Amino acid sequence: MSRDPYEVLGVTRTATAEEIKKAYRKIVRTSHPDLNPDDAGAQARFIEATAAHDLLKDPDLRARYDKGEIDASGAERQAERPFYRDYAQQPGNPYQSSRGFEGFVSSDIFEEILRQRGQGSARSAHFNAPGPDRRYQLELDFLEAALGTQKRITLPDGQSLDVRIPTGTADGQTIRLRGKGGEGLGEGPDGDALVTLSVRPHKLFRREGNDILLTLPISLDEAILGGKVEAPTIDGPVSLSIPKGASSGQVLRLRGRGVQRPGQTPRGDQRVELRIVSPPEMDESLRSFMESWRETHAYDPRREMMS
Amino acid sequence: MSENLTANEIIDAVAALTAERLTTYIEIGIIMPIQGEAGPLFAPVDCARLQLICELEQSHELADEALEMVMSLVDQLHSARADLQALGAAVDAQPVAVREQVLAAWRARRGG
Repeated sequence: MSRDPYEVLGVTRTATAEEIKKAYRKIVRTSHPDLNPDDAGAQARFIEATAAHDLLKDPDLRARYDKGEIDASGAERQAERPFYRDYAQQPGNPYQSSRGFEGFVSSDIFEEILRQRGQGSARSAHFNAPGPDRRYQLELDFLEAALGTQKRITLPDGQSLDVRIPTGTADGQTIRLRGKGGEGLGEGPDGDALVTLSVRPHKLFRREGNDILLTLPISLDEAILGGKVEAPTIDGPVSLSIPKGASSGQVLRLRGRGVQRPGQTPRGDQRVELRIVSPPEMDESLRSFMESWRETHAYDPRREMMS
Repeated sequence: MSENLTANEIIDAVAALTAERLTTYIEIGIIMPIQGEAGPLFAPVDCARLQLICELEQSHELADEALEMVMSLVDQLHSARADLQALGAAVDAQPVAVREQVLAAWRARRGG
C-alpha cells in the first residue's frame, strides 16, 4: 500500500507547487542513491518521493487524488530502474576520474597498493574495527518535535529502534544512538545509528528558533473594544487579552508558551499576530453607523506613506 | 549479443530523455558513448547515468555548466569511494600486525 504523497514529501495538503518542488529537491539532495551511495535507505526513500512528486506536480493528477478518484499507487513502477551507483564502481567504468591520487598520496608504494582494487573483503576475526554507522530518517509531527516524544523505528531487518525525541527538536537535526549501528569486527565497538529527523509543517503553528508563531483572526468588535479570546498554543488553548483598538499585524507575546530546548532556559514565547476579519455580512446598522462615524472621525492610516 | 543500446533505443528506455538533450550531454562530455559501426552505442552504465542526469536536470533545473560540475563531483565521489574500499580490502589482506599499524596510523591522523 502506498503512503500518502503529501506525507512522503512532508508538505501539507494546501502546499503550493513551489513548496512541493522545494520539498522534492531536498529529498533528491539527501536521498538520491547516486548522490548518497553509502546510505542504505536512500533508494527506497528516493523512489517513494519521486512517485509522490510525479503525482503532486501534475495539477490534474493532484486534484483527482485530492478528490479520492485515484490512489497513491505507482510507487512500485520505478522499482526496477537502474541506479548509477550500481555501475559506478565496476572496473572499466569510463566515468571514473583517473586523476585519483596525484598530490594526495605521497608514497609511490602506497599509491600502488591503492590502485589494486580488491574484490570482496577478507575479514578476519582477529581484526578489530568499529562497526559502520547506519543512517535512518524519521518524520515527526510538528507538535511531537516541539514537545518531545518517544518514537519507534522499524528497521529493514524487522528489528526496531527506540528513539527519544527531545523537546524543541528542529527540522534536519540528527540524533546519534551509540552502539545501535553495524556490528564491530573483533573487539571493535558497534557503530552508531544516526537518525535524521524531518518535521512536518503544522496547519496553525510555525517555528522561529524557540518561538512559536501563530496568526490569530479576531473580529471587528474584538479589535475595537478589546477583550479576552482563546488562542491555541502547543500546550492547548490559553486566554489572551486583546488590547482596545488592536490592528492587523500587531504581535502579542505569550511568554513561556514557546519551545523548551534542553539545557536552554528560559522557554521560548508564542508570538501571536492579530488579523482582523470583517463580519461575514455587512448589515444595515453597521453600514449606517460607519457612514455617520466617518463624517466626524475620518482618519488616514496611509498618510505617512504618501508624504 | 551486446546489450548496448542505440540512440533511439536509449531515448525510449529513459523516459525523460530527448534526442536533443542526449546530443548536448555528449557534447559537454558527461555522456561518452561507445563508437559502434552504425553510430553511437550506450552501455547499461550510460542508461543508469542518463536517468540520474535527467533527474538532476529536472528537479533542480540545472543549466548545462551546472550539470557538468555536478556530474564531475559525482564521479569524484564514486571514484574516491571505490579507492577507499579497495584500500580497505588491501589492508584487510595484510597480517594482523600490519593491519593494527595501519589502523593506529589512520586514527592518529583522523582522530577515530
